[in-house]
Amino acid sequence: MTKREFLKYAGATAGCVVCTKALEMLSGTFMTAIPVYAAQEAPGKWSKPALYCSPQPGFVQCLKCPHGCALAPGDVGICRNRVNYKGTVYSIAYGNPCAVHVDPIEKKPLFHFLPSTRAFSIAVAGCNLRCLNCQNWEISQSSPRETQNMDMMPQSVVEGALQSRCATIAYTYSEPTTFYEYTLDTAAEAHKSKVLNVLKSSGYINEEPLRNLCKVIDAANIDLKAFDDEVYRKLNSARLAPVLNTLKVLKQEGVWLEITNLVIPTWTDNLNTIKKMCDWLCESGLQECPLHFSRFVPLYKLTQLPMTPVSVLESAREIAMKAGMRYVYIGNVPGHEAENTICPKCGKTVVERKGFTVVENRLKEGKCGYCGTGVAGVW
Amino acid sequence: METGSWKIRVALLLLGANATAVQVLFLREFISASYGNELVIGIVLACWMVLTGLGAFLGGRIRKLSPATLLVFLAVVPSLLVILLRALRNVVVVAGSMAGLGDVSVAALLLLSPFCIVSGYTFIRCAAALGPGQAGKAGAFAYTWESVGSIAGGLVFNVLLVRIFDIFQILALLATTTLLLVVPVFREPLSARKARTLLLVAVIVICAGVEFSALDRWTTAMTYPGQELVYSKGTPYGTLTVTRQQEQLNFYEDHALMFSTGDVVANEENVHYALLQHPSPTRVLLIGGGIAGITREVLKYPVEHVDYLEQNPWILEVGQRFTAAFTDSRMTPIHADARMYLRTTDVRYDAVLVNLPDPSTVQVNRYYTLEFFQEAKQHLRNGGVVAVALLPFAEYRGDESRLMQSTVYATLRRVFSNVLIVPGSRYYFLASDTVLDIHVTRLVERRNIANLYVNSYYIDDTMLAARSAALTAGLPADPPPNTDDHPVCTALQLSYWSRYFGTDPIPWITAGVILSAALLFWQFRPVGSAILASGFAASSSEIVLLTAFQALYGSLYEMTGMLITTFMAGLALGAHLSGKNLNRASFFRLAFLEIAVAVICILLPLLFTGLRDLASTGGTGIVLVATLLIAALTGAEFPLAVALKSTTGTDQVSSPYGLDLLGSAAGALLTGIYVIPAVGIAQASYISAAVSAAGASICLLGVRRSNPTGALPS
Repeated sequence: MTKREFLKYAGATAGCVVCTKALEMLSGTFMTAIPVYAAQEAPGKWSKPALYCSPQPGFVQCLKCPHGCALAPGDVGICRNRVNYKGTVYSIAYGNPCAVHVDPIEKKPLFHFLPSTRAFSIAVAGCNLRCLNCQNWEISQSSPRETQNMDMMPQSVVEGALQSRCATIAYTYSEPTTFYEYTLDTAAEAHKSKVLNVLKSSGYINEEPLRNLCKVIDAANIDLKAFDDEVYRKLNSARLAPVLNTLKVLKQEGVWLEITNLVIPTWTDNLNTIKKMCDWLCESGLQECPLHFSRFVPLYKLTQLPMTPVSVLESAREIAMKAGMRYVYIGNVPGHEAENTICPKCGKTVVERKGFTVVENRLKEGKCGYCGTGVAGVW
Repeated sequence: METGSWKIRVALLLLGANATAVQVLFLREFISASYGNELVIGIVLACWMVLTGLGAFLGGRIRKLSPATLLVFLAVVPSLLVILLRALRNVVVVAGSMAGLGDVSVAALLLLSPFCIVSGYTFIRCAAALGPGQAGKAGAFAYTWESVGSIAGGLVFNVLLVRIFDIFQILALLATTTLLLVVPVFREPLSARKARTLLLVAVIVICAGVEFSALDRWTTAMTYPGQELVYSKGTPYGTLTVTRQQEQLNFYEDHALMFSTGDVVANEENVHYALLQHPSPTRVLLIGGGIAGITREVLKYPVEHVDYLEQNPWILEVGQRFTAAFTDSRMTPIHADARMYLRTTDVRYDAVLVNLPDPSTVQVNRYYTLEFFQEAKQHLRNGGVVAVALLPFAEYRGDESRLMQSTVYATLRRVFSNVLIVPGSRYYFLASDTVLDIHVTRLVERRNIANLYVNSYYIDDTMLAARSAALTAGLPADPPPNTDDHPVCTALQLSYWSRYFGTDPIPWITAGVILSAALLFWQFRPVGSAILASGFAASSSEIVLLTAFQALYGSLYEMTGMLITTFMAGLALGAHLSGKNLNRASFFRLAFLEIAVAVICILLPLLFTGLRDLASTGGTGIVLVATLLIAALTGAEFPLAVALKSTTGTDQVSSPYGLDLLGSAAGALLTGIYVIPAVGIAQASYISAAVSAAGASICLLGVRRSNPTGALPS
């Protein structure tokens, strides 16, 4: 090889790298590369055939979430826990939680659902979103094959909840709709023992599997991450419309619903957009659903944006209440008075909270202790 | 060579000065744009050297452009590139998010190309302008004067320019100086009339410095969408910026967010978990973070004196101007490197609180090491406590996170009887020789301290205790300790950070560099191999010396600058002396120099061990002498290699120069980001020695085949 040739090859290699990167940039930030396992790798212990899969010539179409992954043998879904093994798609999440903790229910946050109780919280690795500010990215952006998991079949989870004196099992931390089969079976098992089920989710799921899940889910907190499809695509690698549909379906199916909106500076702190969001929620009959404006803290890849100023959260709350939302809270701001529940009629504080603790509950059978107005929730 | 050589001397001086200043400025811009760490620094430096090397190769082949035209280009283009980098930052990468290594690499290759390729090309054209007759002497001459220019540029930049001017003012100053010198010296590429006009423009440019200041403010503001820029100042430690969003102030260093005002959770956690452990803390040492609002929390205790250490004095100035951190007379802000401070003070404390970012750099890692914990313990009173924090809390810990926590835990356990992990918004590690209590809210209530977050409303002691116990029990057993010499945590932190972007790139980078080196060794033997190895050994030993120096004597900015300047001076001195004795040039001599470098590299770990007990003044002198020696030996190799190169014409200079830069790139990249964090300083020195010895061996083997005497072909 002459030096001239060396230069030529070096230049060609550099050119290839630059072109590949440029193509990657042009294709947008919609979805990052997904690790693909060896075609014939067995799915692993506890794996269960996945629901909502449609066999097609040469691949299987996953119909659980709006991504609709077409999985050829050996492929792994965007959620990282659905694997096509020799033509059958398996959920490798089943029975493999990597995080199991006991939390106050207020931490989810669920403020109008069995206050002051504890939630037995479980998570399995994997998520169908790619949020740049994910707090639990080490599980959400991993596959169950990459995490250290516990062996917990549905019955063990329920036993754990009962032993920990938890009123609920929370499917949380990562994305429960991606460990769908496990959630479904565990929730059904929990109901047999009178333990209730709560979902902390992004709500990025198709309608049919969602309606099926609603049969065993009692409450949900859905992250409405933005009210702008472009922001959803850039920040979360998802779309807005399916999430809005999830909110409507949960309401229709009678699941107690609370909504969290994370206010991220420069991305989701536009007060006009927040007003549009609140108007839509009211128009959709969701004004009784508690809305939590949550303060952004720099995390994961989004570490260079500052925290949300408290006054921005206060403005958002004011807009939401003017729009007709009846219960609006501010989260992640310790000591803020917007942690309390205010009676929408008399304006008095009916549930006084500090952090995750209910200091005083002045509700009587779900009604304001002062004026008797009903306060929506499962008390 | 004498005819016109003074013009070339000026050109080389300008080239060296310009390149050094622009390199430092660009490095800062890239760190700012990517919110990067040592991986980013390594990649940008490597791109810089590879591109300059490419320019040098081209310089041996394309001979059309004159040095004067090139220097004018080099003077003008950096400002445009900085504007481009700032403008495109939030277009290419999502605003507020970190850039991946792929993005940084592509951006560095694209944006540095115009400057670096032309810079490498210009060096070769300057050497060629000295005449083709005595390539070795021409090479030595060019190398020496460029190095002298670099020293001058580095000194003026570090000592003067960066303290007074912003980036565009500095670049304007450099451009004007170049134009003022190039036009009269070369009398080209412009006519006399045009030259006069240009001079006038240059004077106006200087006088309009204020406008460049506005340009800096405007382009800086572009990188903070939605925030009002209230303060921005270049300091030798990095650019400090303050922005406002409604009532909230945000503080950045090199565009990396340090903290925002009103962060109740962080402020309380950083203080109370530790101070609650002491029955009555009266004297407290804060290392970093004092202006973030934590001083108010410290003053909730009956403290009599709080010493707050900050290495960058401008942070203290910013704190004074924008916060109420120093209003209480019990607060004493101190500008000092905390490690150095602890070695020189006799004061003892009840608590040492470390509020620093995660140890993603060897410099920050110094506050998570065995040596630091030992020094801190020596300054603790009975019942004293040390607190450090690590990584954001998550419901699940991956392998890197668990290993890092396990390393810090095990390191603390070697020094203190009790270590407690408190899972807050970060993982807080408390260490003391007295019993530590995880029931923090009970302690808060007992002391009657009014907190907004660290209280029983937010924290359940029972759950906290259970989580703390589970976290501790889940740590891998007996990891190696994190030390100054072997910064394990930095390696783990870089792996942890790399996982943000999917895969760990370090093994790939390493494999790529080793493969390329093997190919180049094979292709360019024997002289090429020697010069490649020499470049590698020089840059890697420079990084080893810098790291060891920081570990030994703290990371005082001026001393680090002096070390780099000494290194450049050594290169110039070696090249100059070697260039004078080229008639005795031989392959054996080249191999001898390589072996000498290898021997010094082998001795470096012994030297560092010996220096531990030596006072800093004497130790600094010895480190500087070692630096000068290695650099001089490396510098001496360059003219020898040029003289021994069998080809003719300018390729005699271009090929060794390019290979030297390629070797340097590999050395800087691998040693900084991989070798030292993975295996430690001593092993990194031995690897440098091995590479240098390999270069010498290939050189000797190759010459034995072609020329048994090893003498210079006549």
